[in-house]
Amino acid sequence: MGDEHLLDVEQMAHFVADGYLRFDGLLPVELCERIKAEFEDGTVPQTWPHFHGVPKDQLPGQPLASCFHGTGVGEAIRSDGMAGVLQSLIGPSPLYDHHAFHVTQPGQGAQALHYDAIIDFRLDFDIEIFFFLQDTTHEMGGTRIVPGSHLRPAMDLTRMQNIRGQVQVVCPAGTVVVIHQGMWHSGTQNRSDRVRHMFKLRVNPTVPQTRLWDTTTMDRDDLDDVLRGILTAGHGWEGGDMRHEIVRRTRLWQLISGDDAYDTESWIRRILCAPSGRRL
Amino acid sequence: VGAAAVRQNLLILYAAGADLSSFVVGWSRYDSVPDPDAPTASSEEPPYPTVVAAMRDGWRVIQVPLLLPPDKDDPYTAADLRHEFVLEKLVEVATDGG
Repeated sequence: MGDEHLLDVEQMAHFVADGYLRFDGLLPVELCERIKAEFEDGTVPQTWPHFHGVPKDQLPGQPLASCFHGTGVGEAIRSDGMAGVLQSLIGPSPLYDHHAFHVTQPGQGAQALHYDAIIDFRLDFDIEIFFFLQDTTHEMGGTRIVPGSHLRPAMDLTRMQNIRGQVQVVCPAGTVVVIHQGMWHSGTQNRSDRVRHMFKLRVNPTVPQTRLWDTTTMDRDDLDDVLRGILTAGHGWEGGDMRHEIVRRTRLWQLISGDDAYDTESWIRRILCAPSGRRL
Repeated sequence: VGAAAVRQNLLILYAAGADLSSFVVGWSRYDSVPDPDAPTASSEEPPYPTVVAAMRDGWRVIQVPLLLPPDKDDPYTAADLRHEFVLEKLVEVATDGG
């Protein structure tokens, strides 16, 4: 994998602000068909949540490099495009967390809105990679996400059916969507007559997620304006909490960029202002 | 002759602030009497722009959000959409009389 496959500064800033990135047509359709077939014939079985019979070196917490050899999934995650995404967001030695095939039958209802980071909300982040293995129309009920929700730990989202700014993934086969583990999301109702297949893989980092991407793309005169434009943009639902969201995004950008002084609205400075060392 | 009974339909609106005139950022419907015009899980626009607009259409507010103080140790914990207003409409339905 060459550096040309690494993510650039705008993509990284969008991941920080929006909590996801979308790559249309990243995987060949034939590879998607192979991944689906290997699920259906048991070559790559559904192992979550019990992991019965899984070799020790392929259990959660083991190197991703030891998993999925000789399979379509393995070919996908070791392709140049996916390797660039993994290297940029997670680093050189990701750990396997779990995978799941999501199979949604015609007529099957929607999942309730939820997020996966219920017990592990933290600054160091995992990514969940969604492989859309077939053309996914609106009627087929692709995953719905709430952009910008990933830095907001919640108690129970299930009563919230709709949130302004929500996006349902409608995409061609081979599209990959990468989300932060805190992203609010759900599968939606399959109102078509076709079975919907989506493969999900979650991985964890083993190194600080700092400057793992193509940092040469920061060499531009309009960098401050570009970063500010992306990192302070609302998604429609933040309302009066916008400042809190921007503060969290700023802290995540400090990690991503390695620039601890980065403070887009100068609000971290306000928070840390305590010359007396005392508290109210 | 059939008799009438009353059932409850709920509209939950999440507003941008505690102000009932602030704009709606989230919405849910829970109906004991199905309403074919109710927004679905994939609708993109809220049924009303504000809580007050829903009131003008006959929805009765039965709960306004509690305002909780920020956590002193972590004032940046925000969690779920916090300005949740619960509204109801009572719907008459025919029964068998019994």
